Amino acid sequence: MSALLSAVIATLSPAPAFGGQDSISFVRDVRPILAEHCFACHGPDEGQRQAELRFDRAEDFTRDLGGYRAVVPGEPEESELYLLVTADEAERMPPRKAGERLARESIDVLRRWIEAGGVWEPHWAYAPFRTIAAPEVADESWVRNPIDRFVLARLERDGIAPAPEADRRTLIRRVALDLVGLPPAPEEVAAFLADDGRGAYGRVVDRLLASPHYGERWARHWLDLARYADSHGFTIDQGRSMWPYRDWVVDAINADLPFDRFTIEQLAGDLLPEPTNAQLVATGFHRNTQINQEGGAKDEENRVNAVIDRVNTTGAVWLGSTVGCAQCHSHKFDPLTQIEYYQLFAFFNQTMDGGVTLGPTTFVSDESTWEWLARYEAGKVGLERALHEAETAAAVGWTLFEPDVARGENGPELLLEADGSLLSVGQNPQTSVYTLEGPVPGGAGEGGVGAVRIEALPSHGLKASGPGRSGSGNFVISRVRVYARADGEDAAWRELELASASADFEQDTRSTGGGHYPATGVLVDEERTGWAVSPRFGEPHVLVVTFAEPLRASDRRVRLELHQSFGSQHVLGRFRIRLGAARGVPHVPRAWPAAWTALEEHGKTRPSLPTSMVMRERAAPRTTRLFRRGSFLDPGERVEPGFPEAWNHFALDAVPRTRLDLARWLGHGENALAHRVTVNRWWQQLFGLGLVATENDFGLRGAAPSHPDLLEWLAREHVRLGFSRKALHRVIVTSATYRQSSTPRPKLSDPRNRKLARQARLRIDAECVRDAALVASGLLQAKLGGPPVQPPQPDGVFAFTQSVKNWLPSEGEDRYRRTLYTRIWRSSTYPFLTTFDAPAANVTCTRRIRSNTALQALVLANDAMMMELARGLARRVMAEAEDDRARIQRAFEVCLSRPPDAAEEALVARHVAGERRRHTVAGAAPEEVERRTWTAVARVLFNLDEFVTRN
Amino acid sequence: MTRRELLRGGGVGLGAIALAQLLARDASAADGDARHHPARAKRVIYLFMAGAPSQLELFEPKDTLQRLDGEPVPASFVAGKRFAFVDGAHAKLMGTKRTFARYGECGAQVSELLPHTAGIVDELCFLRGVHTNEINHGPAKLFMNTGFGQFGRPSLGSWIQYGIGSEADDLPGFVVLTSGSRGPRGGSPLWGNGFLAPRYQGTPFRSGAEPLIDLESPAGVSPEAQRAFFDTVKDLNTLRYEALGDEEIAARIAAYELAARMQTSAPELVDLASEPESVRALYGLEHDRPSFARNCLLARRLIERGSRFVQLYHTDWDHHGDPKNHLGEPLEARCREVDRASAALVIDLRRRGLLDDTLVIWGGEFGRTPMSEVRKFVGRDHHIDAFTMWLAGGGVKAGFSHGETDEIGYAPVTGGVHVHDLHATILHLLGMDHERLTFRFQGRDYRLTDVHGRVVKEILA
Repeated sequence: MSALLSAVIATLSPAPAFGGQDSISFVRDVRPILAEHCFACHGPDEGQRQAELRFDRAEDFTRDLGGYRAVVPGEPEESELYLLVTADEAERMPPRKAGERLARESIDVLRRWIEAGGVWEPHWAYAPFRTIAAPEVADESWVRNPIDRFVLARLERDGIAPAPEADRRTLIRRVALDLVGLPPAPEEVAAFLADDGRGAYGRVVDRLLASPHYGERWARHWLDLARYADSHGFTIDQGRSMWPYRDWVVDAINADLPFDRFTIEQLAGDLLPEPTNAQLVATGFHRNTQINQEGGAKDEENRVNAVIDRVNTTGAVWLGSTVGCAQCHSHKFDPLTQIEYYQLFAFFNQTMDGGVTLGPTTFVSDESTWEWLARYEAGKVGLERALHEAETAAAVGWTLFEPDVARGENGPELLLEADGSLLSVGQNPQTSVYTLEGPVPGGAGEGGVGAVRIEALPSHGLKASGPGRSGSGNFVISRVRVYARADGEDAAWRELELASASADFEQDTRSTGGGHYPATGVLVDEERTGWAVSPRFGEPHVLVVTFAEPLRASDRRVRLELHQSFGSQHVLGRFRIRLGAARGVPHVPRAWPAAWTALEEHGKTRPSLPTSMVMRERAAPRTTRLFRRGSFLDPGERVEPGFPEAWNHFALDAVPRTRLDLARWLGHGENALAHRVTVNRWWQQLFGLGLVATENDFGLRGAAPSHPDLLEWLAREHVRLGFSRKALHRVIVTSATYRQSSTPRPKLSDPRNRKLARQARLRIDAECVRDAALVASGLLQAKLGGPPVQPPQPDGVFAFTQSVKNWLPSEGEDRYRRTLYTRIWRSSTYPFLTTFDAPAANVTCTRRIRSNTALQALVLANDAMMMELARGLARRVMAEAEDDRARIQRAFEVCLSRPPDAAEEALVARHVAGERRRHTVAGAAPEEVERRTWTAVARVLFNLDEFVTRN
Repeated sequence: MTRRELLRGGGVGLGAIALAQLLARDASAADGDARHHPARAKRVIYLFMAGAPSQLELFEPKDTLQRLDGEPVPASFVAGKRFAFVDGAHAKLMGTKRTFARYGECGAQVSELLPHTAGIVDELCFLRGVHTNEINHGPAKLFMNTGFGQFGRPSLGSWIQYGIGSEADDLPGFVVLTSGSRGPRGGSPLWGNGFLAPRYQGTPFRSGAEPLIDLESPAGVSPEAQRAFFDTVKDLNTLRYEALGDEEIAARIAAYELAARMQTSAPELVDLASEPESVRALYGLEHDRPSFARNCLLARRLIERGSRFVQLYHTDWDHHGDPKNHLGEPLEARCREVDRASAALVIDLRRRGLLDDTLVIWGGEFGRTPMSEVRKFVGRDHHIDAFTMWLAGGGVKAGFSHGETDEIGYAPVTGGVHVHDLHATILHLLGMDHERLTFRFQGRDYRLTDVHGRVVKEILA
């Protein structure tokens, strides 16, 4: 190998995190080499594994491999691992075709590690919490809190002094942009400069943390992770109402909802006992998946894609891991098997939503409607009771059949309602067989169970109020089949012979060109005949089918099949089943439909309230199967919910079964990985880069933390502070580390600032750019929450999407709301946001890129919306200051939180003079000349690098 | 001011970092050039027929299919297959109503619907057995562009920008032009950067005189005032750069310079008045309103100015059998809209000596079934097992046809080309090895071709 090539390869190998240390660390030095060069063939993926040798688990290193071992502690020359990486060309590992050979330095690391005993350690990110003591430092005076000890200890080791503290103007602008996402008002800057008491900065921080704008700012970071948008995505991209979820995030962060609650309510709020409306709204986190409404799209494929996205997003957000690799095969580098992937999948595989329908939603109301709603609900309860009494009176001698399995063939979901009825929702099939299975109800033995009573019920969600789902509200039950069996899984089903069928009403519309659909039609196998009820829609009807022999005393379970083969969606929309003794022709007493109508009329008085999409668990569990090579068309072995072994180092009480169990596990104080990932992302927001630079990969091939002990301390501090986001943010932003100047220090040769010898200069986020201009213009409307708004955008934005959206620019206060509230169409995001790197809300985004492009320059320089805000700033500067000098000063303080220096003032004065000359033409009103001149100045300030930068 | 002048002058000592960030110019995978072998093509023009044209009406006459017209499909073809709308088990085969003839020295068969394409068959390389994984438009367009049927991966054009950058000084390196009644299904993710840096994403040009959003100075701002604005912004930013020495500020200064240049260069690009009448006639440009023909001419002007990847979308090829979308008049209209200009582009590139190192690609996201789909009118359903695309120039064989489908045109018998293979081949022609053009994201080295793809060596000239 040539010296040059060797040097090149050396740079590709992971460098030790710190220079100049002699002892070899398995975690820091050895595993990265193994992960990079060996795991693909000798790692967790059993499909790829060669020679039954793996290097991702402790036991495999020293296992007897038939006379030799991978690692013999202290003896490199007897360790197969070392022998193979140093073998002759033909034998040497890794094989030439598998990738780059190991650099000499890497081989040396392996040798020294084996010599030192070859001790395996768990991957730092997956290990339980370590106890951390903040290190001693020489310069105690610099230390404001423990963070600074970790940072300074490393700087002192490298002989680097920290940067001086940023000046106060920079500091308040920095912390305001970071915590609330808005630049400070000049008065706030002045007050901070004037406050020379101890703790002045801390008071600023406390004020910002208490501001409702804090929730708006940090909600935006979370919404990137949640892939929040106001439309369904894909090609049709219809609008959806999800903003109550967005507002829930703002509220939760402002209320400082602890991390465990924050996790549990979003992943499984619906499974909490008696969930509140807010807890249901919180589950919108995973309803932010896209829905493909394209004709021809298959519901099950849509549903499976959504579940996969939920698994992958959960892995990225809470575990900092790309679990998605294991969808098709066991992970090549990280210890996640394909089965474990589908164990995670199983947690999310039980929700009702799916296909192209909206799925479950919840109503959201503001306070003013709560009182009204309470009255409405009270009235509703009374009417529901009356209906229940009427229904019960009509069914004397019958006992409710409560199925524990309710299946609808060809797509519909059958939901068991509180009143014992079943609602057919979701896909509306052409034909279907409803299969209902459950225990023989207790007390039904009286007189023997000799008949089944099928109540076809009206429902306001159906055409003509049903009871059917066809275009007219009709249905046809073409065949009824009933089975019974004794106890025990093995007991055989016995089909019951049916004797007779009768109904309260039978369709006979032959005189008007229709057909005859008598009750007796359900007794024969004929697709086009059966029982139907046209034209008497919107009222209950009853069918009774009697058995030739009553149920036997030993029968414990009953299965009922309602075949609905007529076609064109002639299937039941809502119905109820009762069992009882055989009796005469059924009858529907008038009190029953009357009570139903009264309840429906009451329902129409309900105001239309906004909705939000939520998660609900379905009644009948789905079986989860592994998908071979990730294809849902190729299901494999059955799997049950479970936590991945490598991350499951603490025990929860029970065997995990539901999303709630998963959420409790993810939000648990001992789930060290979840806390490390979370605090690292916060650090990333406050310093531009995480302590772990690969914020989305805490796995074996991810970057090692720049300050491992600091990350560990922060994660534990997060737990110690009761999972409080605000408390930990306060700790970070009050540290001396955070308060350093951000001026680059090129002599340190640390361009990415991994040593934290300064703060970072960061281009502010897309929303912050527009918000800062809104603040400066004096036009910002600080109202919180509510439906999305539509600030002006250039024409022609929808020329590139399938369907043109109606983007009528908001007028009044909604034109000037914070950018958080701007409507997000997935197929064409607000162009200002896209230009400044806001993510497309298609998949979870754990870090925004900060680009610096000519397109950004064009938007800031020329966009009509920016010009409107520049006119606002001009008006404001002209009103708030008298002469040119004062106005220039004011404009700088409003936009940059500082006055101009002499050179800057001279340049702007030159611009003022030029503009004034340009606009002073014959007939121009002096006020107009001034207005245009100061608008031009405002425009210059909006386009300064400093305006879009957090220093 | 050209980029080179900017490099020399500017007075603020612009660093390499600053320039590298602009429009992906030279800012590629290896901070320069990721070509793994000598390139046959330097640039690509991709004519995307959105909605999926019927290969059976345009390029693939099948005697057996004509004979079996109205017969059920032999079960062996459809067992276990997925269709979007038709019921595979009951659908009936349908021969085409279009007539075909052989053209050129190569004797390729082309439908009566594409007379101009018929005239250039000796420049074309037909791929008759292209197949894909995705059956619906949105996912299939994503798949054709990103090699993956869900969102989140970089598009072909982004990968190319990432790999070898652009040669354009004043214009984006990856430009998207659309025509038809609406934008393509799927929208911006089709030219998205995925996990690559945003500077690699495609820039959609709007039709009309202002191809980019906010390209024009604000209302009431004269050219002199705009110049004064750029000057003052630059002077103030320069003071900050001198005080802090942060290269990001230098990059922003350079970005504003480029923005100012683009305000001139982009309108000049889209102003077709300078094109001679003979060229306008060649493309069939009857007016300057937005059209596929205008976009073809713009594409040529873009690549002349250094753009690397220009993608045209022409919509409404989804001919199922609805009143507006069937194999009668609507198909004829689509063919009229694209035929002359597609051929003109190839001829024009040839005349200018650009065809040898410019790859032209023509095709949809999938094909259409040999079975009919009878709605109110006659159409065909989505078909993923075999469809036809053509390539021209850029190092592929001319007057060549690769692959052959079975007797009813259902699936390739020989020469099947999967979308991953097509991607591998495009990268190969541009000098890149699809297995080595990688980007590490979330701990995994991603490729355009995932773990698949094979260069279709048979078609290389």
